[in-house]
This record gives sequence, structure tokens and C-alpha cells, in this order.
Amino acid sequence: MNKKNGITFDEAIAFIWAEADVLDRRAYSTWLDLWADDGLYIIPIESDVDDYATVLNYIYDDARMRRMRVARLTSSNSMAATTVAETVRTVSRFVKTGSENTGIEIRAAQHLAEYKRAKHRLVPATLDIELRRHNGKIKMVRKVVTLASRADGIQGIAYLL
Amino acid sequence: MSSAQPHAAIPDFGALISKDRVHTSLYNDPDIFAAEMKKIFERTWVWVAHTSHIPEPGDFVTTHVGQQPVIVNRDRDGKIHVLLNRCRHRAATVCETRKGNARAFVCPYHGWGYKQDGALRGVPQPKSYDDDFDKSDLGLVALRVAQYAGLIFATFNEDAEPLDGFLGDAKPWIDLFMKQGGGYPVAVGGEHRFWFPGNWKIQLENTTDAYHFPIVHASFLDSLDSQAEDMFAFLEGDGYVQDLGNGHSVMVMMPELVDLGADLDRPIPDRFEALAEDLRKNHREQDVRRIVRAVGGTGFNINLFPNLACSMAFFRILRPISVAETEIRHIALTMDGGPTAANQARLRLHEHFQGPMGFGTPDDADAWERVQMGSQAGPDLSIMLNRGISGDGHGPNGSNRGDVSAETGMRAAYQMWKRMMTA
Repeated sequence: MNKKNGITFDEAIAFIWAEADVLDRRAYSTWLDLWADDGLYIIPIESDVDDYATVLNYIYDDARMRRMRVARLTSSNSMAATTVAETVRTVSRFVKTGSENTGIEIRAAQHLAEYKRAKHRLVPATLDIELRRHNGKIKMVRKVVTLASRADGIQGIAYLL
Repeated sequence: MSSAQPHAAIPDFGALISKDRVHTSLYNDPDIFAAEMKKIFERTWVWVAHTSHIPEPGDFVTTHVGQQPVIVNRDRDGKIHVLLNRCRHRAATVCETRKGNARAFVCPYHGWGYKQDGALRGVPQPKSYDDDFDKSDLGLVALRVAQYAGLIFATFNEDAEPLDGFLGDAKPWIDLFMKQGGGYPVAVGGEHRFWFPGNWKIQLENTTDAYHFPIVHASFLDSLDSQAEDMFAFLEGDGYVQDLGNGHSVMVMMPELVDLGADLDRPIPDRFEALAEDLRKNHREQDVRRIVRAVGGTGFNINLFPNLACSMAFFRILRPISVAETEIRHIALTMDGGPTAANQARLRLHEHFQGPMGFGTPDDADAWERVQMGSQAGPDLSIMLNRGISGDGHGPNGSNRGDVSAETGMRAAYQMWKRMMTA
């Protein structure tokens, strides 16, 4: 690992925990700043796809779509987002799946509990996150949220995973 | 004591529907729901798949007709079958996967094996059965199958009118819908599947409900460029809703996008200019214009009673699960063999609005959930469906046709509901 530009396993875990906290607090403008300009935020329907651009996903967001998504969720013009769902998520079971001179790839488990309209539901997922150091700061290059229930019907989600 | 048992009163379903409103119990009465499954979903043509779901011999998908699980498959001769997904022995499902290719279906419980056409091929240890055991009577139960323009329908009802007649005046609109292949065949390209805690008819109504669009989808409209936002401001335009008979209807939101094969000389919208430039590398200008004009889908929604909508650029399928629970599938459509860039543009457009994390669907689903919750209040009140009723009888050939925000399509569906529930 390049000591100047690389990212340690501990640094990656700290970043991912901080991101989870940002999302549970719905600090979405802060979340936008965690991304590299060329980053991709993907919530797939199918797993083990080589190129998610070629298939239908739940979410396939570049920087423009992420900005629009955050604008929608914070605009008060979305009735689904206005009836706020409280989320509490835990990320753990970190595994380093790849690293290079300026970045690191991590797989992790996310347990998210949602509470809305007096009902709890669980939204478990596997996270595949690629981080890169840019101008000294760690940025997300890719986040793939693979839902356990991806192939079956799920109720609408008006927050970020 | 008399041995005669009093007959249970047969509910007067017809009394629940008037010309311009329906009774609230249609959303939340479990007995009405049970009757709907018998009198509607087991009596009429129900959409089960598109031919592109099962292009090759042996291909299959599993789905439901009403609440009954079925297999839709193509046999070695290319014939399409719709078979109950239930072993004739002790009822286990014979297929658990959602799609695939199978030369046969073998029940995992006792090993009864069925051919692609549903015929019982063999059973293990047959000698324990008596001589009257007749395999030819014990195939998977087959439904009637018919198709139009790639849409595959099935029915339990041997007496149902032919599909052609059932679709009737909807057929020319289906033909127009399929022009979004841009010169290529339309093919399914993945789907969003989600459910909401509400009655199936709440979703059925929504397909021809333009009235909600600027309210519920304000956050989607905010995400569009000004040209697209103008296009979606259709409540101010010349669109309309027309009753097509048999519970079917069409809502034309953008009249300029009814025939995607026409008007190819129109200016290309700014949002598709980069795509057009990319396509020009390998396509003639006229083909580029045809593909780009088709890439965003049509300007209308067709509601086909009871479970299919051909909606702008996708198929919407509803599946009633219980009186207050409905599954929805939004099936993306692509140009089969068409340019990769155009098909990826279609997928990204689908993701933008549709699905449980799109910019539109979660808000729709939230509204429908609130309808179901609200319908617990005022159980004797009615659901109002009288917008645009003055247009009834004044459309082409005396049909019902109202302005784009008219509730004409909902009235059409409920009149069909009444016809079937009182038959």
C-alpha cells in the first residue's frame, strides 16, 4: 500500500460507520460530499452482474441523479418522504475484498430497522463499497447495496440505504 | 326441527356501484374480495406474460392468475401453455423458481413427472396404484391461452369470449403502444416488484388518473428539465380519457406522442440530443429519429381490465394478495436487438420514476396506502368517480370520453366489475 495515498482497513471501517450515521440522521447534503464525482450508487435487482449499466436496477445513480434524489427527499414535495421513516442501521462483518495504491474495497453486512406508521420492518443488505483517497480525503467511488429481498416485492423506500 | 337450511343471502354487488360512485366496502370487505377472485379473476382473461419472457422452447415463468399459482411455458413445438403449479397427487408446487428453462416438471415430494405440455409422464412405484389409475387424466391442469401483440392471457373460463373480442377497441391502442420498439420488437427488460397495503382496485384506478399527477409527483416534476416538465404538464393540454369497453380504457396525456412512428421530423428534445448524437455513428438520420422518438415511450396509458396496464413505457401488472394487500410489477421494455445506448436510456428512465425507490412510485404507493387507511372511516360513504361525467356518451361512436383528468376510465372498470360480479 502506498502510505501517502492508501486507505487502511480501520480507516475504511470508520468511514463506513460515519456514512451510516449520516444516513440515519438524514444529513443528505453531507452524504453527497462523501462521494467522488465519478462515483456510482447502485441498488441492484440482480446480483453477480458484471455491468449494472446494462440491466434494470432499483437505483443506478451517478452524481447528477444523486443530487436530484437528495433534492426530492428533502423538498417536502414527496409525500412518501414527508411521512418520515425512522431508520437505525448497523454495519459490520467487514471483509477487505480488494485494495490498490489509492483505495480499498470492502464488503460488509448492513442491518437496517425501519419504523414508520407504527410498524417495524427489517431491510437487511450486503454492502460492497469502494473507497479512494482524493486530495487527501477519502471518497466513495462505488456503493452497491444488495438487498436480501431484492428479487421479491418490497414496499416503497423513501430514504437512502 | 326442520332439516331445510336457510340459503345464505347472496350479496347484491350491483347495488354497490352507481353511475358515478362506488361503495367504500369495495376496498375493505374480505367477502367481496373472495367473490372477486371467483367472479372476475377466475372468469375473465388475465395477463400472465409477454412472449419475450419465454422466447425459446422450454422457457418458463411462474406467476399467478388471481391467487392461483401458475407456470407459463413454451413447449418443444413452440406452443405456449399456462398450467396450474400444483402436483395432481398431493398438491405441492412443481416449480419454485421465477423463470428458467425446463424439459419437464418433477414434483419434489413424491417424484411425479410432467411433460412441458403438462401431461403426466410417470410416477415412481406405479404398481401400488389400482388398474383404474389413468395417467391421461392426471396432467397439470391447463388454462385456456390466447395472445395478442405478444401479450399472453389465460383464463379458467371455457366460455369466455375469444380474446380478440374481449380486447376489442383496445387492440388499436395496443398496436400503437408496441411502436415504442422504434422499429425493433418490444421485449421485457427486467422489472420492479413491490407491494402496498391496500386493495387492488386502488391501483387499477390510478392508471387512468391524471388528476393526481401534479400533486403526488411534484418531486418528480422538480427533477425534470424544463422541456420535460412542460411535457408532463398535461392537465393543461388536449388529452382525454376514453372508455374502450369491457372495463378497458385509455388515457391520452400527450397527444403528440400517440403515434411514435409519425412526425419523425419533430425537433429532438434536448434531453435526448446526446443519445441521438451517439446513435448517428451507426444509424441513418431517419432511424435515429425513430429510435429517439420511441425511447421515452408513448404519451398514453391503456388500462386492460383486470390486471394489465400498458403504461407509457412499461407494463404494470397487479396481483391481488388479500383484500388489503396488492403486489405490483413494473416491467421495463426494451428494443429487442436495438442499440445498446437506447436500451440503457430506457432502463435509466424506468429507474428514475418506477419501482420502490423511484422518484414516483413510492409517492403513489403512499397515496394508495392512505386511501386504504382512510376507507376505514365513514364506511357508509362512497368513492366519488364523477369527474368529467358530462363526456359520457359523447365520444367517438357514442363512447364515454372525458378530458384528461376525467374519471372515465375508473367508471369503465367499475361498470365491468358490476357486470362480472352480478353475472
